[in-house]
Amino acid sequence: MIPVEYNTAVVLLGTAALGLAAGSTGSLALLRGRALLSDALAHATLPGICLAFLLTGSRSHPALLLGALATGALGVVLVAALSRRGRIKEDAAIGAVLACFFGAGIALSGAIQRRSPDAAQAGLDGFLLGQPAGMLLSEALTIAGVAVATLLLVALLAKEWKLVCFDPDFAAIEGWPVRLLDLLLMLLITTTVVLALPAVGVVLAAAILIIPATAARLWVDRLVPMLILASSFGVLASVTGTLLSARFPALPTGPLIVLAAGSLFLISLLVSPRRGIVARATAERRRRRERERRRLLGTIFTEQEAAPESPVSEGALARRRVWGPGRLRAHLEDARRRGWIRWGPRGIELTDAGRQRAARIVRASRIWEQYLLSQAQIDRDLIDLDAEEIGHLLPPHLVAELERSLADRGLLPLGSEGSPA
Amino acid sequence: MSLLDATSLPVLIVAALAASCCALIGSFLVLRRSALLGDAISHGILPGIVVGFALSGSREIVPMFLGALVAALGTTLLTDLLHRRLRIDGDAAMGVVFTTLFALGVVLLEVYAGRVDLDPGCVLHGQVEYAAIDPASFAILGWTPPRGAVTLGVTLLLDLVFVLLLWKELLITSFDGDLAHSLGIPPGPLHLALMGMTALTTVASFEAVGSILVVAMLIVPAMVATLLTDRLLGVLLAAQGVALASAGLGLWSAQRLDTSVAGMMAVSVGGLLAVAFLLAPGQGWLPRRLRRLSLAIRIAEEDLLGSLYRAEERQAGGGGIERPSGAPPHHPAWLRIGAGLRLRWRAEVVKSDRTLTLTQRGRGRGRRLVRRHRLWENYLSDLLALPASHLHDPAHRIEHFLDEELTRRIEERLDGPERDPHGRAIPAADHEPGEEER
Amino acid sequence: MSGAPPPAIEVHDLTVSYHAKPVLWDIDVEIPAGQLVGVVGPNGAGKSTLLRAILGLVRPASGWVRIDGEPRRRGRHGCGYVPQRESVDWDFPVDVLDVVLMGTYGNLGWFRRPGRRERERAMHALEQVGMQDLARRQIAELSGGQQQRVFLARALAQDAPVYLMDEPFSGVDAATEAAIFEVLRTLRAAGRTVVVVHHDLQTVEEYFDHVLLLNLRLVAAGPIRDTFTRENLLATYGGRLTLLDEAAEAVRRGSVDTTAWRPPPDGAS
Repeated sequence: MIPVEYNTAVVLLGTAALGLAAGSTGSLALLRGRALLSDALAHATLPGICLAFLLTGSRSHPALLLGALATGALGVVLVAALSRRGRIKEDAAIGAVLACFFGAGIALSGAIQRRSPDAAQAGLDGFLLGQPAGMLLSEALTIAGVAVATLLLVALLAKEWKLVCFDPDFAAIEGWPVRLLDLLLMLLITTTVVLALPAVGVVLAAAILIIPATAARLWVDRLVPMLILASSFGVLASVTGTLLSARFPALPTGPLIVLAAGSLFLISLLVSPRRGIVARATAERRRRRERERRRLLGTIFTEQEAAPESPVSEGALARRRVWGPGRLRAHLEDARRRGWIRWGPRGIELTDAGRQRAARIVRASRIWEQYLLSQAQIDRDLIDLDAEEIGHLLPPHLVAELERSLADRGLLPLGSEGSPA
Repeated sequence: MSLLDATSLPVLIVAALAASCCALIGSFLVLRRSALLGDAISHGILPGIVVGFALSGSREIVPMFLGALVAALGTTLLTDLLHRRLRIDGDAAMGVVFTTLFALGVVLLEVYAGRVDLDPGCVLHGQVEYAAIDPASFAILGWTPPRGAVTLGVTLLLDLVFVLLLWKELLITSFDGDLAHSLGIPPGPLHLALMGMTALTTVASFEAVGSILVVAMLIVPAMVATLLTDRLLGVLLAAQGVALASAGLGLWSAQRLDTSVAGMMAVSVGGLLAVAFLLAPGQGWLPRRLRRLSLAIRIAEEDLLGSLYRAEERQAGGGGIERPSGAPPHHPAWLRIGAGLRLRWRAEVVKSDRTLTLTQRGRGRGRRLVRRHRLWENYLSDLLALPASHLHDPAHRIEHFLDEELTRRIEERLDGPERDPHGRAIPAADHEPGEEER
Repeated sequence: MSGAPPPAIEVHDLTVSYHAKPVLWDIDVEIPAGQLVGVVGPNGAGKSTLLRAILGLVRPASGWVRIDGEPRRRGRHGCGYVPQRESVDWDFPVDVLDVVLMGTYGNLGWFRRPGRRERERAMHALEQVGMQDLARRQIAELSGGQQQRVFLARALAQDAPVYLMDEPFSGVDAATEAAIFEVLRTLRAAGRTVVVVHHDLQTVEEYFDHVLLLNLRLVAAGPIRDTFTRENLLATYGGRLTLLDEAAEAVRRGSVDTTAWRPPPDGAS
C-alpha cells in the first residue's frame, strides 16, 4: 500500500468518482455517436467559466461550473442549429463551435489576466489542463455524489438508452420518446464533462469520456459489461494519473490521467483476446498455416486419385508450383510429424489418418464448388472455403443433395463418408 | 492606436498571413468533409513539435516541422488503422488518438521544461504579439522582418504552389471521390499530401494562434465561404476574404479590449460565421424567413383571388356544382388581411360597400389559378385514378407552384379538356372577353 | 355495424415530401386485415417511404394514417417493423437475444427490465425463425441472412396485429427466404396483417394475397389476381410520369426549405 497524504486522498476520491461516471456516460455517448460532440462541449465551457468569474468575482467551483454548464449547453445547441439544414456538416459545426468558443474563452481569460493577474493565475489557468491538487473534500464529495447519481440513472434507463442507441427508428415506432431520451443523455454528458473540468481541464475533458469507453469495447461485446468495464478503466486511469502527478508535481494531472487512459487503450488494443492486434495476428497466422496444410493433403490426395498406381513424388508436388522447394520440404516434414504422410519406398504415401483427413478436405471443397455452381441464391457470408466441416454451415438436406450430384459424377472422395458431420 | 502603426503592423502581417494560409488549406479540408481531421492533426502534432524543438533546441521551423509531420502522419494513419482495420468507430478512433497524443505533448512539454522555451499557455492559445516581435536572423535591405512573418510567408507560398500544382486533382477529389477514383487519381496519396500540408500550415501558424485556435482559422473561413458560394474558386477567394477580415477584426478588438489577439481572431471568425449563417443571401436564416413569408403571402393572395373568381363564376351561373366537401383555405387572420391589403394596393381587387371585387388584373390572376387547379384535378383523376372527392386538396396545394409552361404541357397531355372532373369549365389560358370590357 | 371487417391500415390522401419535393403523391388506399400484402414498384418509387410514413417515421406533407381504425399506438396495438438490414450498426455491443428482447420493450414500459416471460417470448420468436441456437451470438458475427432473421424475430416478439417489413427478402439466401416466407404464412394464419416491400416480381404471385403497385403514386391496389396484371405492371414500371416529376421539381423550386440541400459530394449518407 502506497502511503497517501490526506490531500492526495481527497483528490483520489474526486478523480476516481469522476472516472466512474465518465466511463458509463462515455460508453453511451460513444454508442449514440456523440463522442466528438462532447469534445466541442468541453471546449465550449471555457468562456462560461471566465464569464462566471467576471460576474461573481468568485473562484468557487459551483459558480464557475454553472457558467461552464451554460456555455457548454449553448455550444451543443449551436452545433445542432448550424448542422440542421444541410449546407454545414456536423463535423465542421463541431470544429467551429469548439475552436470559436475556446477562442472566446482565451480572449476573456486574457482580459481577466491583464486586469488582475494573481486572481486569474490561481483560478482560471487550472481549468485549461486541470488542476485537481487543490481539491477540497466537499468538492470531492460532490463529484462522488454526482457520480453515484449518474450510475443510478444509467442503471435505471439502460434498457431505454440501449434501444435508442441501437435503433432509434424502432424506438420511435414503439412509442419511446426518442428526443427526450436523447436530451437526457446529452444532459448526462454535459454534467459529466463539466464535472471533469477541474480535474482534467477543458482541453482534455472529453478524452476521459471517450478513451475508457473505446478501450472497454475492445474487450466485451455486450452493453452492460461494457458500461462496467469502461467505468473501471475510468477509475483506473484517474487513480494512476493522480498518483503519478502526486509523485511528479511538475507534471499536469489532466494530461497524465488521459495518458494513463491512452495507455490502457493501447494495452487493450494489443492484448484483448478477441479484437486485439496480437490475437488477430496469431489467429491469422494459424489460419494461414492450417490452410497450407490442407492444401498439401488435398493435393497429394488428388494426385493419387488421378493415378492410383504411380506414387506421388516430391518432384510432382513441386511441379505444381504452389510452394517453393524450401517451403514444400517444411510442409511435408510437418505433415510427417503429424502422422499424415510417410516416406514410402516409391515416394510420398498418405497414412490412414492422413487419407481420412485428406478425403474430408477434398469432399468439402468439392461440395462448396458444387454449391456455388448449383445454387442461384447463396448466402455469401456463410461460404468458408477453408471449412472442413460443412454440416454447421449448410442445412443437411442441401449437403446430401450436393453429395448425390458429386457421387453421380464419381467425384465424391472415397473414405470420406464416415466423417462426422 | 491604429492597426497600421509601427507596433501593430507586424502583428497584423503575421496574423493575416497565418489566417490566410490556414484558410487556404482548410478550404479543402471542409470541402472534403474532413474538417475534424484538421482538429485532430492540430492536436496530434504537439508531441512532434515538442520533440523536434527539444532536439534542436531552437525555434527554427525545420526540426519542429519534421517532428510535426511525423506526428501528423501518425495521427492520420493511426486513426485510419483503428477505424478501417480494427473496426473501431471512426469518431472514437479519432478522439482517442488525438487526445492521447495531445496529452503526451503537454506532458513532454513539462518534461523538457528546462530545455524548451515553450509554455503550455503559448501552445494552447498562441502569441501573435511575440511571433511578430521576434526578429528573423537576416535582413532584407537593412530591414529585419519578424521571424513569424518569414515562416508564414514561406508556408503560404508553399501552400499556394501545392494548390496550383494539384488544382485539378484537388477539385475532383473534393467534389466527387468516386469520380476521381475512376479517373485514376489516387485518393490515398493526395489525402496524405493534404495532411502533410495541413501539418506544415499548422506548425507554422500554431506559434501565432495556438494549437486549438488554429482549428478556427482552418475550417471556419471555408464554412463561411460555402454559405456564400458554390464554386471552388469562389469558396477559396471568399475564405481568404473572411480570413483577412477576421485577422484585422481580431487585432482591432484585442487592442480595444486589451486581450489575446489569437482569441479575438477566433471570436471574430466565429462572429462572421454567425453573421453569414443568419444573413447570407441564399442560405441565411433571415433571407429564408423572408422568402418563406413572401411565399405565404403569395399563397394567401392567390387563394383570395381564386375564391373571388369562383364566386363570380357562381353568380354568372356557369360554375356547375360547387365542390361538396373540403375545408376553406385556411390562413392566419394577419396573413389574410395582409394579402387583402396588398391586392388592393396593387389594384387587383377593389373594396366597395364592404365587399371585395376583382379588377381586370386580379381576375386574370384568379382565372389562371383556377385553371391550374382544375387542370391538375383532371391530371390526378386521369393518371392517378383518384376518386373525385379526393381531388380538391392536392390540387389546392400544388396550384401555387405550377408555372404557365408546365400548365400548358399538362393541358396538352390531357388533350385540352374543357371541364374538370366535377364538371366545371376550365378557363382558357388567354384573356376572356369579359376581362377586356372593364 | 355491418359486414366487411375494418381495414387493417387506412391511408388517406398521403403526400410525403423530402426537402419540400413530393416523393409520394396522394396515396389513398385501404389494406385489408389478415392478408399478406406486397408493395411493389421500381427503385425510387417511394416504397420504403410509404412504410416509414405509415409508421410515423416521416411526417407527411398531408393526409393521415389509421391502424385498425385508430391512430398509431405502441406495443401490442402498434406495428411490428422489420427495417432494412443496413439501417443499424451491426457492431453494436449486443447479442442476438438482446436484439430480439427489444421487441418486448414496448409492452414492458419504462424502467422495468425484461424478465423470464419476455425471455421466453424472445426465445419462441427465435425458434420460429430457426435461430434459437444462436441466441447468445454477438450480432457482428451473423451472416446477412441471419441478421435478417434476427430482425424478423424481433418483430415477432413485438406481437403486433400489423407488421411492416422493408425488403426482408433482399440479399438473403434461399434457405432464409423460405424460412421468412414460412413465418409470413404463420402470421397470416394467426390473423395478422403483413405488408412487405418486395422487389422480386417473380415471387409476388406466390407470396402475396394482395398487392400495392407503386411508382410515386399508387398505380393499382387489390387482390393479386385482379391487380397483378401486365397492364398494371407496365404502368408501374414503364417509366415515370414526366409531368409528375416536373411538378415535384416545381414545388421544390418554389419552396424555401430546399435550396440548402444538394447531394453530398461523395454520395455518402
